[in-house]
Amino acid sequence: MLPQHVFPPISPVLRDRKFALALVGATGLHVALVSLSLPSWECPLFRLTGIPCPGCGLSRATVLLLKGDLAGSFRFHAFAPLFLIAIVALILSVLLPKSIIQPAIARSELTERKTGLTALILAGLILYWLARLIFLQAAFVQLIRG
Amino acid sequence: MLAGGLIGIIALLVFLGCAISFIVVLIKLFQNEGLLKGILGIICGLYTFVWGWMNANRYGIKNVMMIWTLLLIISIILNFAFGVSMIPGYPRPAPVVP
Repeated sequence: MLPQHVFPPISPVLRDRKFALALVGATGLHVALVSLSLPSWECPLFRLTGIPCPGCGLSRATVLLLKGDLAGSFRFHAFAPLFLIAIVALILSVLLPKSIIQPAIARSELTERKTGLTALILAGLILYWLARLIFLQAAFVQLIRG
Repeated sequence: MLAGGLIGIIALLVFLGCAISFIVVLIKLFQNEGLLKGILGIICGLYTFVWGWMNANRYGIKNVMMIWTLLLIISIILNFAFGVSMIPGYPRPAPVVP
């Protein structure tokens, strides 16, 4: 369970339609550019430190997942299915009428608060990233660098 | 060769500007939205970027966002025109041997 002072990170994003729309637009453009092998957003942390961040490889993994290449997607990032679910949730929050989406968001917020699900996923992501960095560092960096 | 070096230096400066802008907005994100959203901002730089624009007026970071966006566009154009091989630290393409 999340303490009261900790904001659940996903539900407020889904509730704010303008923000969700901007995020869907930026992510859609980025994923489209990546799928066409064109230059797009680059991870500032990777460029700054040479160490991939926990989210590095997610875009390419998502593109591969959308193309049906599960093994390739998993090789780049195991969290791509969750990322895809988050994108779909964002798209639905923008497209569906408020009367349908608001109760769903309220339930999602309650679940986030009760179970700490998002915090657990973020913690899992950090652990996954640490494991790749510690045990597969050279291959990981090479994979992300492309 | 000299032109290539100059482009490399410009790319490096553009990148440093982007990185500094990212860190400034990330600090604002941590301060105002808490730990979880801050971590989300590290993992997904695009989230930080969009959050920065959505809250630019509220937190007084409009100038930072404008500079970041401009540098980002320059960075993408440079990347498109010259490829990542100009970026210091990135591996150069191996020569093609027939």
